[in-house]
Amino acid sequence: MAISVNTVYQTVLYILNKEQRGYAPPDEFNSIGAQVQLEIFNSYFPDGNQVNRQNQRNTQNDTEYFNIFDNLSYRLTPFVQEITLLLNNTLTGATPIYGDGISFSYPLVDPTSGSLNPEIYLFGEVTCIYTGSPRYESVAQKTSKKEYTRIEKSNLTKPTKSYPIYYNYGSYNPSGNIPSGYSIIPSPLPDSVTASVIMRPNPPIWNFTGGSYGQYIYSSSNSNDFSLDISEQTNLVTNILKYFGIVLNDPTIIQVAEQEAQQVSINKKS
Amino acid sequence: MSLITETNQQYYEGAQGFVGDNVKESFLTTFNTDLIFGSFDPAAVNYALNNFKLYTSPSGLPGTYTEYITTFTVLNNTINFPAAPATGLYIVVQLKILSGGNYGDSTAGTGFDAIGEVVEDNYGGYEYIVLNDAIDNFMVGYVGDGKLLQKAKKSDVLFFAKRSLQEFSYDTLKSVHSQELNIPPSLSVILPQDYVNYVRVSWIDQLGVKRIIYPANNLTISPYENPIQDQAGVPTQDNFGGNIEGTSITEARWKAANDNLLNGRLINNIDALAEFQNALGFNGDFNTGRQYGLDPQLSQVNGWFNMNEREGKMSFSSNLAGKLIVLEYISDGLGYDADTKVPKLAEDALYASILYSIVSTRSGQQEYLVQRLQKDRRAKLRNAKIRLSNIKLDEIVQVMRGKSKWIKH
Repeated sequence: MAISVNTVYQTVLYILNKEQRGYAPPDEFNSIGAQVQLEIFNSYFPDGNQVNRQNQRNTQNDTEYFNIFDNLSYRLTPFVQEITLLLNNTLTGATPIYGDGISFSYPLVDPTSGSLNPEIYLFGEVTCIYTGSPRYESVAQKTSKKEYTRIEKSNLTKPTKSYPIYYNYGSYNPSGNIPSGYSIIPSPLPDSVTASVIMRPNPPIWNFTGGSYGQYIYSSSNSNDFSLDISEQTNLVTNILKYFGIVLNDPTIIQVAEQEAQQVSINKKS
Repeated sequence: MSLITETNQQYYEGAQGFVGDNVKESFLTTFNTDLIFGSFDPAAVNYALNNFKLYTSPSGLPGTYTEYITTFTVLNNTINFPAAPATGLYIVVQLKILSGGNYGDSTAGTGFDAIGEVVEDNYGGYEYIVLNDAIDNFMVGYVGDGKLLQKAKKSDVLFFAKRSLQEFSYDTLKSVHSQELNIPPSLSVILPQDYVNYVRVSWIDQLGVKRIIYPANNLTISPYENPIQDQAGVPTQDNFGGNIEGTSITEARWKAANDNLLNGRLINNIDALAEFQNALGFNGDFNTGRQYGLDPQLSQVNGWFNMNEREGKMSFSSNLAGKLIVLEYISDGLGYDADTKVPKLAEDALYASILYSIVSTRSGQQEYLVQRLQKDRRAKLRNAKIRLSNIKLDEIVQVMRGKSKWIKH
């Protein structure tokens, strides 16, 4: 469940007011909130790698709620999505990509609706679908371009509909050198491609209307909650405070917030 | 989930039935065999590609089914009609079978029977596991966090699985490949497309009994090159700088050879003479020592074969001209998609072989682990070989009875 942007903002304001440390205007809060959210989000991946070593050594516990790796994976759940990639020569509209007929893309702009697609943070499992009878729905192996060529050349490993492979590259809009999305070249050429991806979190927005005394009044319309899981609320508040300490040039806030954040991190990983 | 997913009717008859309800337009078939669809129209060329026929009947009674040749499509083993079949219409998908199936009998003889070998190809399939399934099973059971292989690329697993299957095919798995051939006047037959090595070559007599033909290892050879030489014995070249090849004189002589001069068989008329003399009590020196010095390896009348590597053919001795032979051979198990299956009796050996191959080719692996997996592989492979050798105690006992050696069991 997402974290309410208003709750976090109010908590930050209370703490800052209590300590007589000044005021955090909404614009600053939104920018710092987005930065902190991204930092926490980014930390999942090295942390996941670290705590997964317990799985590799078979020392991970098998409890329902205290398996730290599972808990970390759970926090990523809101960002996991399944997307459909489009064959490049089928793209229409304002952003035709490449048009080579052998690559599949997830364009920055949806060619049908014209709206911006959510930004992909990481690509996971890619599934190639071959229609017909029989129908194949096979997980493709990700390779580098070099491996791709090698695998293609060996008769024993040559990709088939049961064992497709792909490599990825950033495609460019032919009309200009503007990156126009994430593309893959699979082999053999499938009829359609789906992929499990992790989306980049939406930046938080604390939107407001002006009060009769010129004060800011929270407006839920056009506001964005933090995309992080609710279990990250404490972490989020302390890290935002840390940044406000820097903005306000107050080392005591930084110190307290850093200690707090460090303690949370140690508890998680030990 | 049980491993058998076909009903008895699907397995034995190769048929699956549906009933129309005027609503449903698509009917999913669940055979082990994927439906192959070329065309619904018998007049179309691609119709012959179909591995099934579709029959309908208003009553479902035997003899009332007729082939459905109006528009339909097949996608992902699902039969799709353009409009929902009427309520109560019986629909049967009949895979092609040697007997033609029961459903086309009403029009038997008019070409509407589903004649083919699709159903027979599936018979006995439970004995095997498909290589793709074995690879998927391996990825589930042996690769992942906390296992010996934390990570393995599927292409690596695929490579070693196929290599293992090749090795198994050479010396562990049963040889299931054989061809029945006639020896032409040229005395040579082309090697099968998926041939790797022969197991046995036999000619078939009038009773259908096979008579082993032996290789002519030390008797003759088919030379790999037959360069034309000049007076000085130097090979001559053509305009492109390559040696000019002639025909083999060795082969010509071998084809014209009288085998009786090689195998020590008494020539018929002399045999008759000898019998006559013996019957009359002539004890002269006619027959004394005539069988002396026979080489047992050559003393057989079934004939010889030798490999002609130059032409990719198998050549036979002249006494086999016109004979029916059966060539049993081994392949590497990867020639055709249908071949890529592993007997279940060797499934565990395959996993052990893949695991060992992957671990042993990785750098930085502890040697004790590699050794352990090597032993494991060897033991499982030996087990598989024993299992597949089909040694049955009753059969051994029966053979030994013929030798007057009674084994209690």
